[in-house]
Amino acid sequence: MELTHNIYSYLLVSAAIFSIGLIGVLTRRNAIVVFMCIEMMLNAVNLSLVTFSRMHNNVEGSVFVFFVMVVAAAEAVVGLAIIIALFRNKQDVDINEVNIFKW
Amino acid sequence: MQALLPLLILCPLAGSVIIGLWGFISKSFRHQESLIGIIATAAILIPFVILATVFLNYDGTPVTFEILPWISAGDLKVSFSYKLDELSLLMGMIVTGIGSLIHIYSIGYMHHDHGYYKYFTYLNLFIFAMNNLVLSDNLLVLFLGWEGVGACSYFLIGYWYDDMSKAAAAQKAFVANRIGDFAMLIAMFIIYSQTGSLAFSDLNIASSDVAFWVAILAFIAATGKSAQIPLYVWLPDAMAGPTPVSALIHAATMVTSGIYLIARMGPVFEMAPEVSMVVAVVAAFTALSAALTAIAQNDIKKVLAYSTVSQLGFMFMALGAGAYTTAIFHVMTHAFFKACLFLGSGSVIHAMDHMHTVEDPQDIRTMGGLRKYMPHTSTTFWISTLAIAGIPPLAGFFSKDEILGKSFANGHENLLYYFVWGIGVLTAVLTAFYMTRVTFLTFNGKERFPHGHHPHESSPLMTIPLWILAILAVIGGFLGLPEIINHGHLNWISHEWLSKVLGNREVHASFETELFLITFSIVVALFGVLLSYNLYKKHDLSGDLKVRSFFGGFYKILENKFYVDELYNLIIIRPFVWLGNYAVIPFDKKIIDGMVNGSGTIVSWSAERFKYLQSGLVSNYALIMVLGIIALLGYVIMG
Amino acid sequence: MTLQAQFLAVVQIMVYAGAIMVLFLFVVMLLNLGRESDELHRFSTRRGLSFLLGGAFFAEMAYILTGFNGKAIAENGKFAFGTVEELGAALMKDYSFSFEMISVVLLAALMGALVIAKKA
Repeated sequence: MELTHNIYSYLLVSAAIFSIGLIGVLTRRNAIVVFMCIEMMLNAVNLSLVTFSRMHNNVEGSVFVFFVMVVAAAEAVVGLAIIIALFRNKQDVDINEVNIFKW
Repeated sequence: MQALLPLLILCPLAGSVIIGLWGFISKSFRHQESLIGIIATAAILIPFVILATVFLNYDGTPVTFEILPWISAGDLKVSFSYKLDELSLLMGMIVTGIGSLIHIYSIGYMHHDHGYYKYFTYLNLFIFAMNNLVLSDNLLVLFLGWEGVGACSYFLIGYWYDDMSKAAAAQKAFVANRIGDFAMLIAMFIIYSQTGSLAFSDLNIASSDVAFWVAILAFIAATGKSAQIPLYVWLPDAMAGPTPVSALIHAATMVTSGIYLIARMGPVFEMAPEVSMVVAVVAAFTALSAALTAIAQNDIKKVLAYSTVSQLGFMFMALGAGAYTTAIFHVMTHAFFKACLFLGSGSVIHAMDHMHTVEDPQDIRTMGGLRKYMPHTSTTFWISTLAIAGIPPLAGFFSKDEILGKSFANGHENLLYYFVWGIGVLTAVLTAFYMTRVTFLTFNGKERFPHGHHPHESSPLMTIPLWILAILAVIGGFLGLPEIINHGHLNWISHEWLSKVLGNREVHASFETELFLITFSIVVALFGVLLSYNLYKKHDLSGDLKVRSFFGGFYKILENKFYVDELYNLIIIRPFVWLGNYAVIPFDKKIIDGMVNGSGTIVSWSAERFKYLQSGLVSNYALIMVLGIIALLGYVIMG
Repeated sequence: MTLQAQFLAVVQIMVYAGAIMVLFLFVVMLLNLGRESDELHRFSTRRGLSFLLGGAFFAEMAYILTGFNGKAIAENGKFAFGTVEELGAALMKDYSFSFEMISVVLLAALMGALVIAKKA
């Protein structure tokens, strides 16, 4: 498959997805939704990495993507476990309710 | 021999440290009085033996040795180096020799005192400092010794520190000394900036303006240490310390450091003749006023204290007349008879105190007739009295006469010196008078202490040093026979020994003048002694009434030592205290404390405001993080 | 896929759609949450500011990323590392240490999650 479009599109798509994920993280209150947005951001980064890897014909980008995916998975697992533990104590997954560290 | 030389400095230091530490740590050691005494005396006797050996084998070249390098900063290189030349050998032997005698005496005098080990610690430390002072070859080590003896003087005067007045006397001594030290420091700064070196061998100031300032400052320093006007006020009060301390520090050694300093700086003074004159005149007035005050005192130690101030005045008169070797000669003879007098008075006080019947064991009005009970003390005291009065052939006559002769000879150049000579003669008469008075009232005449008790002679530990010093007071003068005898070639100390180091001013008087002066001195001295002796023999203590009527209203001023302390209090001390209360204390409280407290207040005030950042809301935190990232990215993009 | 990175595409589908989303669904169902009103329907400073910041971030990224050469992909021809064989070879040869470590990371995450989420 030959490509006739240029690289900008891929990178811009990646940036867009990242920004949307960012807005989601800052806006949403439900912890689970925030986590999903974080996953989205990681995916956007993966996309741009693959693009760069293709651009320079270099394997390192792809390898890095591989690792990022593994780490994302691990992080999602641990994060969700924390949410479960939190839910047991407070019966609520609103991130703004976890404020015992305030002054 | 060269290897043993550092012991001159290290032995006293070691003695002090050993006794001090051991006594501090071990309570049982504090009671081993003989052991402490032996360590302390040996620490001083060993240096004396070393110095005597060097002296006897001296071939004219100074012996130098260095212990440690000290400062090496840029161009300034100073080390703990010492030079044994004629002058420092003589001074060193005086210090360590008389020092050892006083150590031995102290073993007897301080028997059963609570702080026995502390006394000897300080005494050894004092000799260490004094050795540094007289043996050093540069001004900085001398200054170390200078300050050291001041500090040790403070320790020893305030030795019985639970008595507030004694502690106050110690503080007075220290403050007065400190003023002199300040002048000395400035003089040292000037010398260094002019010549680039602090060693004595490099001391040649070219310009006479600079020499003027250096000389004046050195003299001010000397007035502090050697008790001249205006800084002499600490010496009478310093009698609060134990009597052996008074003998060592305030008669034989520390107070002579001023004279030693000026003798060393002789060339500088010769370049500034105005200062020499000032020295002579101030010294003359000091000698006279101290002698006048001594007539009206009733405490035996106070009389001796004022006598010391007066005799120091004589030494400074010699310095002012350019007779540096003569001044040192008088230092030596004075050390002999004054130490003997002080130790003798200590013996008397010791005996009077043991009787436990008199209120003030130092008051001569409750003494009298002690000759019967204390023959050794009495005889040695009389010998020393005659020596200080200037009766030939005792030591004081030779040195005092030489001073008067040299002052008179200077009159040829500068008429003011005749005036100085006149005051010197007057003082000599007064000296003979008051010394005879105090000796007679103490040892002769009626016994005024309560009957039933009587005093005992002191132990040999105390009387043997008395005799040694008395013998020295008798024969010591022969080291410096007057010039008229064999054209001065028999004046060993001035012509053979010290002249190698100290350059005296070239002044001579004719043979006839000298003979007249000598005869005149003998006549006035005898006059003073006989007048006093007859007066008090006839009237005993009421002879004082005749003296009182002689001086009239002036006597009250003499009794109150010219009200100098009150004057200083009014002019100097009260303004300072006022300044402290109204200027320094508010500054300290408001501004400095304000700054310190203020910084604390600012921190807590801002923390009070900043704590609201910690809202606990995760979204807020995330927001701020992102804000930061965007700002950072923007900064990277822009620049 | 269009970037000729076939292996990664497939792995992405498997891991994300298969594993992670399923996990999310499990957690949602476990927590049995009811419907709640979200920040999105309320007008607040935070919402406005976050939209602003997201937009600003996108703008910055766009600015940075368009500095790259546009023709790069078309010129390059075939991508050498898209297949399983190629990527696997690279992983095992050059990056074997990282590969082993990443499996340790997975193990740690697994154990951590188990510990945290246990019933007290």
